[in-house]
Amino acid sequence: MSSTGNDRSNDRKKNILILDDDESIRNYLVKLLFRYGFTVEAAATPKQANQILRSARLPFDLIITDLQMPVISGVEFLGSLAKSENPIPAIVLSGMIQPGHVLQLKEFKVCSMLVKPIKSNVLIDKINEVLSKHAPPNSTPLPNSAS
Amino acid sequence: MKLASKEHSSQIELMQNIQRQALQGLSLERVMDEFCLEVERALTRFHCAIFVASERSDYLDLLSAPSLPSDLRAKLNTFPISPDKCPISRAAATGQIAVFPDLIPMPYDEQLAQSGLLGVHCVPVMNEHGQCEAVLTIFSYSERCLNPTQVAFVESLSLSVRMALHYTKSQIQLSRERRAAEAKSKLATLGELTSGIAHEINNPLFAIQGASDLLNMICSDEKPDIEEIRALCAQIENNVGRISRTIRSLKAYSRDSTFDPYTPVSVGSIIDDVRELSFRKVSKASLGENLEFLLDKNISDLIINCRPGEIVQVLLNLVNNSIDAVQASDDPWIRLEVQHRVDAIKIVVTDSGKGLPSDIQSRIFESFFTTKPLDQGTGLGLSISKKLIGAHGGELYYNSRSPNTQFVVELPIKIESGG
Repeated sequence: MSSTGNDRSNDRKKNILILDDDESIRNYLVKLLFRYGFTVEAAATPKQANQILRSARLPFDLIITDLQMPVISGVEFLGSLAKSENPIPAIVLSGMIQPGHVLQLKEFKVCSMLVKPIKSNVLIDKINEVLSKHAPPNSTPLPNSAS
Repeated sequence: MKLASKEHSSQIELMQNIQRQALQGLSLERVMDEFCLEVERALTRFHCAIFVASERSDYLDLLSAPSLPSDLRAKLNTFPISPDKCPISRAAATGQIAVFPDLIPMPYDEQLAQSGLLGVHCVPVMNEHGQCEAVLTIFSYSERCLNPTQVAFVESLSLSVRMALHYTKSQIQLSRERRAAEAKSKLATLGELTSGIAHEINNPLFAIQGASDLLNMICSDEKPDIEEIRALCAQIENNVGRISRTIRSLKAYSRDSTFDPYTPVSVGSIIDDVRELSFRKVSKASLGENLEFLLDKNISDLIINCRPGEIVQVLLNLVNNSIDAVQASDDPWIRLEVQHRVDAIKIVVTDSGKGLPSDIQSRIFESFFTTKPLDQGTGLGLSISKKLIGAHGGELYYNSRSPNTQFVVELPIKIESGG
């Protein structure tokens, strides 16, 4: 079963940033991840996401981002993210992943690419899988059922 | 001399006609039929036919004989090329002019005489390798032979036939290539559309799926939150609406209006339609007097030939975009102005916005690109509009030199002065 965002060894909840220009999807993901015990922040544009990243009090453990957004695309955003010193693990969650983008996204070390629509449990499983793979060596998230 | 000059001028006219018809995209047969009829008009009382040689130069096929009796046409439909057959076949085989009756009696003479023909004059059309490409044939039922001036004229037509054949064939090839290119670009648009559709439909589907998952979870909650359930139901409803809006605009986008008739309508009636259809939205946005339609009486009465529904759709889309863009701003205004150019009308839609950022300018005509909130735009309006104006031979563009946000529709259509 899915684990929650509670990471007992670090004694803090896993912190996730959501980037999607679609308001109803942001609302849904915030509610869903909150239910599973994560702390969540949501941005509607890459610009907003960068602001949140810069001013965040807690470090982010994962970014979940859409690809097709006006002005700056998710691909460009992930590209700039990949250049940073300690890149935050990212999951792409998009309505359409163009074959041409897949190689580029792999280059940016994107952990997973999911095509909408998917069921909530599939998304939660994927989030936990990515988090446990990228967890710092001294922390091991403990499995726990959803509240 | 007089006759010769008449025929000389007919030959020039002939080639001009051929070029014009080939440019119109008529078939090879139709163009060559016209060629034969022109020759007949110059000669009077004779019938003209053109036969083309098969690729291996072993057969002749009748390409055109617009005034020849149908029984003779049927007989001459296709026959082998041979030096000892009828004069048409003989001309093709030898590359020499062949006539009936000839000084030396020929094996086919009797058959030709029986068919009621008094004379046949065959001019071979040879290619650069000395092979027969076609035979121009003049049949006569009323006079035994062509007079010497007419013979000179007919024999000089060999080059014209060759040029006409080549020119028409290359035009046909060109139009075939043009059609292929058009089909290719349609496919590219379809590809672009498909990825857009996937995005536009998968996103709301995901929101619906998510709402359903959350509703299920709430069912297991100790105290289900009724307000949250309501909010999730509203989310489902909104997203169903989004999908159906996308599908509706796609229908408008993919509808092939290529064969819709062009109708003469006055510019004024088009603008009236736009005024009427935008009224509701204008009053809702409390723009009222701030939406101006500027057009002079003389422009209003101009008659243009167009698909009026499509032009109204494009203008309405531009006005709607402007309303969405400026309605929340201080002192909003929108102006639609029609200007008369020499061979075009120019419809300029300007609003109080201060212009679009350059990164948005470059993407504004892409399918599914939108800066509007998700419940307002599908991102198809401007790309459809551009397609529709393009089909009218016109242009829709964003004028980046205007200090305010400005779109321009130019319709270079034939303008007739209205009543």
